[in-house]
Amino acid sequence: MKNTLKVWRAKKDITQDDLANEMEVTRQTINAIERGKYDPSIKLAFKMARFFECSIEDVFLYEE
Amino acid sequence: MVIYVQNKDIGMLVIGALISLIGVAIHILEPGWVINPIGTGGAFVGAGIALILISIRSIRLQKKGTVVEDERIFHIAEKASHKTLTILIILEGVLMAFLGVTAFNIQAYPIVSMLFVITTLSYAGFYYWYKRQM
Repeated sequence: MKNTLKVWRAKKDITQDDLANEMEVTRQTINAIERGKYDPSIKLAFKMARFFECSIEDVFLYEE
Repeated sequence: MVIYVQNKDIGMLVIGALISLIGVAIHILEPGWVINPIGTGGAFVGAGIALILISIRSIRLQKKGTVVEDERIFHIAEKASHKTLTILIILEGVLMAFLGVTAFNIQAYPIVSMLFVITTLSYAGFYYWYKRQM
């Protein structure tokens, strides 16, 4: 699954640490998601989309 | 929620201290019903100290407001546990078959100790492997 989390984070001008605190996860998890190493749960994906005020598809892109 | 977590950690601290004390008592008193007082006492003290250190680390991180566990950590732990369990089932199956075929009279203590070490090393190894992967 690809994502544009880094872009959205840059738009909001927040660090990985800030986003991690907002999402109540570790900074390493945000880093792993950005690098495409870890796919977040539906709950976390919704939480991120809500935080960035967009839809899940704007942040995460599922590819076969 | 915060109070609950802190109570849990304080509970773990107390249990850790109690286990360590039991270990020290076994080591010093050497009761007759304990076959290996040094090994047993050491195991209790080790487990107690580990529990105390984990609790102190958890309390310190909570005070800083750092998130210690999240879904990724649980996912990594889940995968490491699954691999460890698979290895242990295979190993124990082979061991049972070997003991059944050869009728070897092996003492239980070294075998259980070996399985304990393999479990710990396997889990720690897989945990750090998956942590690097994810």
